[in-house]
Amino acid sequence: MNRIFLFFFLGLGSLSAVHGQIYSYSNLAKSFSTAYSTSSPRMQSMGGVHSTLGADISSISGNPAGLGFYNRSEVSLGVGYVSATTESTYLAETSSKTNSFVQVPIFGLVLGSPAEFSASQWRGSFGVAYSRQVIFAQPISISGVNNRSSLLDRFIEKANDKGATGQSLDDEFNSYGKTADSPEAVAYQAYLINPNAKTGGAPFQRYEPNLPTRQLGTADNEGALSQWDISYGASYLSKFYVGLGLHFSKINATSTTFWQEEFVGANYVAGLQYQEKLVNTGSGISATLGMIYKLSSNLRASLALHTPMFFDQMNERYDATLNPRVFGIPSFDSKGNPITITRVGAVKLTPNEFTYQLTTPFKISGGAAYFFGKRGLLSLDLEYVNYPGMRVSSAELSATDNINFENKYNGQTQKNFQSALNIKLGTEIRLSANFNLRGGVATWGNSYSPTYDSIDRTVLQISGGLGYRTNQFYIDLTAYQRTSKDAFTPYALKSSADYSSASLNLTSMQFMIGGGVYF
Amino acid sequence: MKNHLMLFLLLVGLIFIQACTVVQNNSSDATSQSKLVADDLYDNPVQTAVIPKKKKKSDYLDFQDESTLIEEENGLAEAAEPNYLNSRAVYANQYDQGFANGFSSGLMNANPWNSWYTNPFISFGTGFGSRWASPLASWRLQDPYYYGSMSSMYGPMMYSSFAYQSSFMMNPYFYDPFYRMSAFSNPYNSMYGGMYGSMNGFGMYGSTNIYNYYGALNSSYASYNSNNYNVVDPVQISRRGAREDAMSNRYGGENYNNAPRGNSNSYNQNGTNQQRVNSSASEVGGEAVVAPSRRNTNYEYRAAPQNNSVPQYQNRTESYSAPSTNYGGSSGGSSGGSSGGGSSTRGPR
Repeated sequence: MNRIFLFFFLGLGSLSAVHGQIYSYSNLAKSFSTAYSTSSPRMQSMGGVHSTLGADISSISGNPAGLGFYNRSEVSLGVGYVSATTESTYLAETSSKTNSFVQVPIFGLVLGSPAEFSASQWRGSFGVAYSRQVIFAQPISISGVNNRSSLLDRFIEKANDKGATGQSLDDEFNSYGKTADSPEAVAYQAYLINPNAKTGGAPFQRYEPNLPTRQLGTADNEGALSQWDISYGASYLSKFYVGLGLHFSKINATSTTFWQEEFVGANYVAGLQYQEKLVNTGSGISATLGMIYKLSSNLRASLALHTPMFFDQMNERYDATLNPRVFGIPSFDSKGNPITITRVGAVKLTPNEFTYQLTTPFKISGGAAYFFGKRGLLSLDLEYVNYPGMRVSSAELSATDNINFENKYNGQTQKNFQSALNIKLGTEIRLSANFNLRGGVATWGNSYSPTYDSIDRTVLQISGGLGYRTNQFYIDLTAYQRTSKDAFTPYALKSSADYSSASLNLTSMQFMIGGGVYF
Repeated sequence: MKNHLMLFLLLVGLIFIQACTVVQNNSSDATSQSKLVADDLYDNPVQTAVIPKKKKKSDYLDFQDESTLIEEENGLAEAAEPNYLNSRAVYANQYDQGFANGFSSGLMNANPWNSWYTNPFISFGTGFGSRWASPLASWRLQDPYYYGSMSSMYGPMMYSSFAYQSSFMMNPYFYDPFYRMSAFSNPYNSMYGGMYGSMNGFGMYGSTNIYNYYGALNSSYASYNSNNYNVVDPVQISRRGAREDAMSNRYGGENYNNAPRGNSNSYNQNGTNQQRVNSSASEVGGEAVVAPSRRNTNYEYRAAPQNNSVPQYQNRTESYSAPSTNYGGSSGGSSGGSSGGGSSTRGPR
């Protein structure tokens, strides 16, 4: 039966989407470009279909032509309780972590045109809304006993690769600011890795590398891509609808990863804690042009073009701190006397700051909706996202460096990503004069190219909801559950036998309540 | 997946039922519509049979006509029509002049005796004067250089017995823990730093505040002032540039690369998680490598006594033996240990 189910959806299009790690710039761009839930509670309960329907606050950020359906003015607000859970399996151990919070995904104002035709055959409505397009919420927690490697092996490989010596790593340490310029230098200053006694450099070593390592890792994401939308939608003879929207976006994303190791049975180094923090902020602008046409009184079709969003200045700051825990490290003091180091303070990586420009992909959305008189509707939305069109560049760099920067990361983008088709299907049934019942399914197409990896990152969302409406106000209740798979590699080594990845099952649920008042 | 299937089938069922319902109601669509509340998603705008004609202007009253003529909306007010008594166009000049007079009078002639706006003590029974300041901003009321201050040096209260150096008393919204404390003892309201407001002068951090850019509280420079040349900021060190070129990317530049990982980029199976043996062991002849000294001296240490010129380091000497099976579970590991020559003894964890 499951196969039949899968076959049905595979017939609609490819299925997966990615919760990639956000450290690479191409992956960052992907993360900032993938919007899942962007509409009002009413539309969310119908799987997020709002491209063709109109007369909803979602039209302001989605298809502005939908504003042309308004016969009155409205103030609307939605509040959501988000619960994002990740179950991980790492080295045969299963862990789970949940991140829950309350948010305001959307609110806005529509100044509608009166219900009567004026002398002109054109009518129009103006809308202003705030919406959260992307939410960074998914946490990760993994743990396991690794008999093959430690994070220190990653640092050792990096030190070996660049031909570092103890002296060169020492030179990377700034005694005044107490920071080191590279993570291998940080590990060196934390007395966790040592140069070869004979060569003074590679191969670098660590204490008791044959012992198993108890590893615990977490990653926490917070922040959102939010935007202010200003849109106008007009209708001609209540037959043809056209709209234009401007979107002013703001990214505020923080990702914190924490990695802890404990060397089981160790005598020299007990373990370490490595914490990284990446903060990205920036603001961007984009526009949407949309159209809706009533083919008949029961059938509508729509098309909307979403320009890429251009972020003029993305600011990022990256911090890392290594906190070693030692039992006793044999060493010398400055006079050459033998000592046993019993405690080493935390060593920080020199913070890294950077500004760059980001362009998100071009999108086309459209769909069709069939109305069962006034008793209900069935709507289908299709969304095509050109992920390979994502671009990063940096005006901060010199012309040559910028070309190298663009070639590296835009090359990664084009190699790793492919265009995706997102499909949403939703229905609403007007049970009585006041009550509506809604449901929907949605899939987000595979945006990672097949050459990237073979992980099945299917994203599937099931949603439902109930609405109560009067002529003066409405209240909507919505719940959805979104599931997908992904993986997490805490660090990579040259030999794939020496490191492991965690498989992840991602679940994101949101309970929303929304309401609005007509005036 | 089974749950999803059930939900999907439920959805399809609802759509099916809905389709049936529509057939039943089609014939009486108009009736059913009337039962439903208005929803712009479904409803078309009401098209009136006849587009209403614009009302013609008439100088005569028509008692049969119930429509209201709004002159501004119909563009009539702009026409020179002095006979309309309900238009202020009749008294246009008087109206403007009256406004201008009132504005000028209020602006130029107000004083604390005739205007609530300029007299903070006229409260209209609300308990707050017109220039009530919020508790958050109330510190400004103590600023003698601020015109609106209770003890403003520009105001008549400055030298009165009510205000002089007792302005805290007059502001019920500000609690001063150092009220009337000796000026030399009060770290916030120093005689020199507070009243006369010299930058940092004998403020909280003395006359040379090297810690921040804020002057003594209650001084005229209490707020942020970037001119404190005594502050020596630590040099902020940061690197600039693309992060992954010089910094750590623990993930090898990308999330994954399936090239070295076979056709399934999944985590390694437990079977491959076998214990490492003698890979780049740092121990030389059973002794650990002695870490060479380095720039970072932020550590604690003990002197290692020497025995026949051989340093006796005081690390742990626990022995670890791997469990006999695999290592996916908790570590076994026997421990036994006495310290190796040092004075410290550490037992098993």
